[in-house]
Amino acid sequence: MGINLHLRASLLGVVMATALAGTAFAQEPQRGGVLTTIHFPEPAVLSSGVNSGFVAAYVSTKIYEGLLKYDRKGDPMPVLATSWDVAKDGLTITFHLRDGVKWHDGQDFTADDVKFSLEKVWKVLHSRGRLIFANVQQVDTPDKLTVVLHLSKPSPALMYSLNSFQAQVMPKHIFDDGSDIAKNPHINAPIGTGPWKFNEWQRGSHVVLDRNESYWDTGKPYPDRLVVRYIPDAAARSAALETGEAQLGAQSPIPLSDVKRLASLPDIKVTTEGYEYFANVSTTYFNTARKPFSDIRVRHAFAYATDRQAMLDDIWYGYGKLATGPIASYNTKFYTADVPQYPYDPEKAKALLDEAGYTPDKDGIRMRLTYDVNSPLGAEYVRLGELLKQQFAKIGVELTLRTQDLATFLKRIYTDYDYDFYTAYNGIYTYPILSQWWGKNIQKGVPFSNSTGYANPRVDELIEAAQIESDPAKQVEEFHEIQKIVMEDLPVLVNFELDPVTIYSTKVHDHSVTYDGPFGSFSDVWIER
Amino acid sequence: MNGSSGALFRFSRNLPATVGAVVLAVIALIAVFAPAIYGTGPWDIVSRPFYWPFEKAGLPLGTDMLGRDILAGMFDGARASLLIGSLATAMAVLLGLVVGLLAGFYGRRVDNVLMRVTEIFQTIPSFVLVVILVAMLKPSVGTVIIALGAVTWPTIARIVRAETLSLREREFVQAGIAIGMSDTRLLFVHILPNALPPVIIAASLLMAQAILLEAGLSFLGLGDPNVMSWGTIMGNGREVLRQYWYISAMPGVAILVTVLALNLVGEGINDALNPKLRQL
Repeated sequence: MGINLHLRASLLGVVMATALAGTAFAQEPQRGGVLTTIHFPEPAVLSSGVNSGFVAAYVSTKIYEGLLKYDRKGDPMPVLATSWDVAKDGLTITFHLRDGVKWHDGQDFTADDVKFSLEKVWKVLHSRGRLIFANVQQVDTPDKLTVVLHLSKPSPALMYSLNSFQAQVMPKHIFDDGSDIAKNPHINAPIGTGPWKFNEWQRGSHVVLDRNESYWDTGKPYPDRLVVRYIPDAAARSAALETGEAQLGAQSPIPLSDVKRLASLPDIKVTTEGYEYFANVSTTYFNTARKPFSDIRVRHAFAYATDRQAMLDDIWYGYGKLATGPIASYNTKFYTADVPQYPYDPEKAKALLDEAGYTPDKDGIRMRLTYDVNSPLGAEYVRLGELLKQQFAKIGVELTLRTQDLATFLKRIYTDYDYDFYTAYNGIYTYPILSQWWGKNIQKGVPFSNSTGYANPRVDELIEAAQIESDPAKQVEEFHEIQKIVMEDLPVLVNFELDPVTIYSTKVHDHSVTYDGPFGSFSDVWIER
Repeated sequence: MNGSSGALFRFSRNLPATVGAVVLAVIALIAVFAPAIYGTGPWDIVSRPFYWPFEKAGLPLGTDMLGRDILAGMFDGARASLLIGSLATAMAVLLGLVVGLLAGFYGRRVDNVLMRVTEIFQTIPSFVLVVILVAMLKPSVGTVIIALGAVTWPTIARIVRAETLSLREREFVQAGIAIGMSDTRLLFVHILPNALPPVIIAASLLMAQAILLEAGLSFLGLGDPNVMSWGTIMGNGREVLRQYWYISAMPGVAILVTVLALNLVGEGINDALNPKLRQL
């Protein structure tokens, strides 16, 4: 395990260097320059309102803004809304909007734009927005700069979902012409209020954004231009960052095996900060609807037989932290470690399988299962299949690995439910969205719905209660109880908290000043010259 | 008898061909016996990741990114590559023989139809077709063999057809037809044996091609995920090529040596059987 210690030490070194640098560059920001960044893959559209994925968000969060943003601790900060009041019963939320904000085409930003975005875009066209804003019954605009939301039930997740990643305010005068918003040409040539103005999108190559000269936060942004390049080959992305052709790469744009090498270069830094908002966890899903995983003892046995530390160290190169449950430990508000835990213990796993009646045959094999390799997510998942095959062989389980293309995989998992188990990752967000454990989210044919067949009435009740709970103490209680139950029932084994990395030049400062890091607006980023 | 032993003699006089044959024999022996004798499985995690070759005793070729013994992988890879290569070639030869014999012997419409089909396969780049076939079927050893066989047979069919066309007009075949010999007997007893030499040469080259195609497939992650072939090891190593190039390099060398040996043997057989090159 020498390598693990070594990896950890060097990782720690990177993190410390970053922390030190963080204090060191409390210098005066400098104007000018062109910031070239890398993200992957290329998006299909440039507006998150109609596509909730990460790739569309990376570009569109620079152009559009939300009502709020969240600071590094997750607390709300003003953007398009300067102040807000939530009524005691949680059913009325009033936003006071910033005066003097203009759209990139010169028109005034008003309350009507917010009303339009919420009613016509977030609530209708955004996959998570449908859930988050479901209880908004009415939106009033008493004057040009005031928006009042009337809710049928308290919606605590709502106040955590008003950044430009989840809820981008879009211009009513451009999009509200009665035609299909998703087909409006400005979806791919966005007009926003943000620090960056859309200039051009050369498909297959890059997006160019220009500095918004009349941005409401006077003086910002600092560089003249922001470029997002799309490079299909991972090694070429590495090379672009290494040579300085690009100065920033967000969301682990290169093979993790290459990160350590880049981090050791004098003019490159690596940080895992800036992804807390998404709270991604690596998750293994068991098909509880059929044998053998219908037996809770088998699920527990597999949890004990999974060496998650090896998984994290050897495949994810230490970029993460062992998880105890679905809610990541940095979400201190709702996290609890007081849940059933499954340290690596193959002997205990064997005992559990014996108890469940899966005893070894003459070849020492207890059962033969198929593991669906989530190969569309990348090489890590192929490696993971190989690792699990070895780990489970130790408890007498013979694994056959199955790879397939994305369409076949999705059909197998979410429509046919014809699988034993597989691994993926799951975004939980700040106000935890635990739809993978929600029995009512078993929707045949809907990708990324509940595929395990797990439905526990008590968990359903708690998940639903937490979505409309206004008392903070009760929210915590409910989430704690959910974590305890789902980690005991274990339809999903939570492996570790994922830490994506941002790789950037030492010349680039203040790129991840919000909770959503590189998915913030880049209004504060500046290049040292 | 005289002819074939003469050919064997001529082959053995050809130094590169003999070297190729010896190398092939060694690889075949490794493929058959080494995995069992060596003991360690190719998937077993035996030590920490990224030991360089000769860095640690007992791990002469080092370990890969999961701490698996690369030597064990190379042994199993030899087995996988030779097995897939030879079975795919056998399938191609079988298919090519049938199509070639029928097209050449019956001519006219049969020939027309069969050759147009062959051309369809010949005009599609073979690697692209293999990728499509494997992606459509579920990747496993069987489907990879079928896909490789399906793209390599046209060469054989073409050669056999050409041979059959010329043999069909020769006196001994014409005589056979004249005395009312059955088509089956003519095809299998008189034409096939005489058409075989060029097929054997082509088959040895086809096998080299099949091994390369399989390596390419596995390199792209489209091979059977449960089989450790040379291409699999190369593909795994691709991600860490900058720091740990040895992982990809070693199976690369193995593929190079095997393909080279097959080519040398093929050339050797060609020279030995080619009457124009006979030295007196």
